[in-house]
Formats: sequence, structure tokens, C-alpha cells
Amino acid sequence: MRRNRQHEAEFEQGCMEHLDSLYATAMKLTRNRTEADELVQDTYLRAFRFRSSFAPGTNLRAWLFRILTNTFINDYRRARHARNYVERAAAEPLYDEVLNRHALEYAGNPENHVFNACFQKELTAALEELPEEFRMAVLLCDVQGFSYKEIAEMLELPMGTVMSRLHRGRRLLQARLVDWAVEEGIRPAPSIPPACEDAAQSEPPVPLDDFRRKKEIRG
Amino acid sequence: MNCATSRKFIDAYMDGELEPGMMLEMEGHMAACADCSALHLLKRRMQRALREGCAMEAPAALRQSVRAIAASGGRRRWTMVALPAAAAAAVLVGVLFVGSLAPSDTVDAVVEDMVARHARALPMEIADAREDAAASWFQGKIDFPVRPLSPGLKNASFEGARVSNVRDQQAAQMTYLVDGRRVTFLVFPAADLTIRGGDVRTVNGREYLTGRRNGYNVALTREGDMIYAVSSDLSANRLVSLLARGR
Ligand SMILES: [Zn+2]
Repeated sequence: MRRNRQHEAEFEQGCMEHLDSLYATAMKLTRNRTEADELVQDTYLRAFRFRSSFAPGTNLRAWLFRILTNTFINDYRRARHARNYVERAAAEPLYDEVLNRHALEYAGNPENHVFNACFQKELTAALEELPEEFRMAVLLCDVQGFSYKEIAEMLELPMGTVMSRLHRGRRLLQARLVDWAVEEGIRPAPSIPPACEDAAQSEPPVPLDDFRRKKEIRG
Repeated sequence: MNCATSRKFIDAYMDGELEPGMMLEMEGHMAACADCSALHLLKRRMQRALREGCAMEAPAALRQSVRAIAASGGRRRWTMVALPAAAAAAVLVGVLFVGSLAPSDTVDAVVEDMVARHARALPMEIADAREDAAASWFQGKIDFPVRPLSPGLKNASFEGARVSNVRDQQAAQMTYLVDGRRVTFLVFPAADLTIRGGDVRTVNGREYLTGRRNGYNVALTREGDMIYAVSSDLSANRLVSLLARGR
């Protein structure tokens, strides 16, 4: 009995520890304070109602994020709009090829404080405008640090799909940064792509499994 | 390793998702290639900026609500506000919430149907009519009497009516604009419907069930053999108060 109560207290405390990161994610998903608040409450309602489905010793954080993302997808997302976003995003050009080395070094250098201050603001604003599917992948991987496999399990998607959503989300963000840097006069408008970057740039990444298979054949 | 291959795997490299051998090959290329290592640096910096830029503290009020949810074992405590009659805060017991974590079980098909009726926004069969005229328009078209949502409601206008259905039941569907938002009002026979999912709250002794789907809220109540339901992107509280006002 006492042991049980101790388990419950641990579960409760464990859940509370992830409140801030769940809320931050909910804010970026719903882009609305009231809805983020409701989404987090719905997540905790489900977590405590279905606590028996949580296997002690497994990843509580991943379990909570799974509930959050599923609740968002099913109850909060207006499906009609989501489709349009994805179609529009597919038509957007991808920009890796227009980043030249000079711009890359400048953007990547933490010493450039002028760039620094706005960089973060601009990025998070761009993140909010990403299509939901891409935004969710970027949030879970880049912001929350989940592995590809954890995200794939969370969203019940093949790992290749997670990778391509993440890849496209990141490249849309990069594209926005280039636009911004040009507007701000931080760097000149992109001209000719560097020679070493070929058509591979516009393709989604090769699934890891494919790569491993290729390696096996070669070796 | 050339640049083209490196660019294909640069994301997985940054995320530490490559197998050890490939990791080493990528490291080798990064040391030798200024372009790829600059891109890698930018990607890392983007990732850090995102992580820092998205960090947020949950508001104190939310923390409190979540503590209350934890203490109740996942049963929501509703506080009813801004209702016309003295509506005491009702403690909610999630008895109607049955099922597993599977999304399709958490909100009943009825709620889903109602949201679909609202979201599709089909044209109304009568549009230029008064609310009370709609009630008589339904006579002969459907097998049950229809009462309008909430006659004389402020900030609300009647937009039209059509014959519709919810699950296998014939339904009277009426559209309103309330606080500038479209609200779909449905009246249909309760018959043998089992409604699962959502939350229950009690106002003036009557039970109201609320649910959420695809970004829309639904509130419904049973009166005799009939179900009165509203769906909209208005808050669940507002929808319950709309229903409660007309009952
Ligand atoms: Zn290279």
C-alpha cells in the first residue's frame, strides 16, 4: 500500500516536471494562449486517467509528449486548413543551394552579436509559420531533443517520414533566415549556387536504412 | 565522401543518428570541407536558437489547474462562470469517459459527426427567415418538433436552417452567428445513442456533455427523448451557457 502511494507520488511529480516544456510546445502548436492552456490540461487529464497504461521505468517524458501531440492532432487541429499548408509548402523552393560559404560562416558565428539578438526572434517567428507537420517534427527534435525513433513512435509514422518532415521544416526555416538576412542588409541577395552543391540539394534525405543497405552491398 | 553525400546526411549527422562508421566519415569530411562545416555550424546554431527561443514557463494559473487535475486523478473540476442563473461550480466525474488512449475512442462518433456538420458549412435550405419561422418550416420535413436555440439572445442572429443527420438519426440543423462566430445548432432524437467521451458538467441540475474535435467544441444535453447540441469554435463554457439559456 505504502509502496503504491510512493509510486503515485513519483508519477505525479514526474509529470509536473514536464509542465513547462509541454506548455511551450502547446504554445507553438496552437499559437494561442487559451488553446495552449486547454491542450495542456487535456493532456494531463488523459495522463492521469490512463496512468495505468504507463509502464514504470519507461520514458515518461516521451509518453506525455505522445499524449500531447495526439490530442493536438485529433482535437485541436482544423484538418481542412492543414492540407493547404502542406501543399503550399511543397511548392516552395528549397534554399540550401543559395547559401554561400561567407553567409554560412557569418550566420554560424556566435561572435556576431548583432545577428544574434534578432536571429532567435526571427527563427521562432518563422517556426510558428511552418506547416503543422513540419513544425511538429522540428519542435520534437530540435527543441525537445527527441530521437527520430522516439518521434516516429510518438506520431505513429515511419522513421523516413519523420526525417523528411524534419529536413523540410529545417530548410524552410533556413530559407526564411536567408530572406531575412537579405532584407536586413546583413548579406547580399544570393546569386549563383556554389559548384559543389548539386542536385542532391533538392532531394529529401535518403532514409538511413537505404544508406545502410547500400553500404552492405558495397562492402 | 563528397559534398553531395555529405549534404544528404548532414542533418542525421548533427542529430547523432548515423551509425558509428558513417559518423566517422562525416567527421572526416567536415574537417576537410569548409562549405559543409559552415553549413553544419549554421544548423547547430539554428537548433540552439530554436531551443532557447521556444523555452517558456507555464503560467501559475495553469500549474494550479494541472495540480488539481493530478489530485483528482484526471477528473476535471469545472468552474462555471457567467451563467444567467446561479450556477454552482459542479465537480465533474468523468464517468462517461470510457475507452483507451486510441483517439477514436476518446470522443464519441456523435461528437465527430456534429463537428463534421459544423465544419462542412453546407448551404442552408432556408436563409431569409426568422428564427420562429424555421420551427414551422421543419414541420412535415422531420418527425419531431423543433424549438429554436435561444430566442432573444443578445449578440446572436439566426442565419438559416436545413434538414441534416447525426449518425443514423434525422436532425434539424440551424445556423447562428453568436459573438461573430458561426454556431451550428442540431436537434435530433436521442433514441439508443450512447454518447461517450468529453466531459460532463452540471448546470442548474441538468447535465451537459462537452467534447472537442478538429479544433471545434461541442456541447450537448438531453431533454426527454431529444438531444440539443451546439458546435462552434467558441469556448466550451460559452456553448454550455447557450444551451443552458434556452432550456
Ligand atoms: Zn563538403
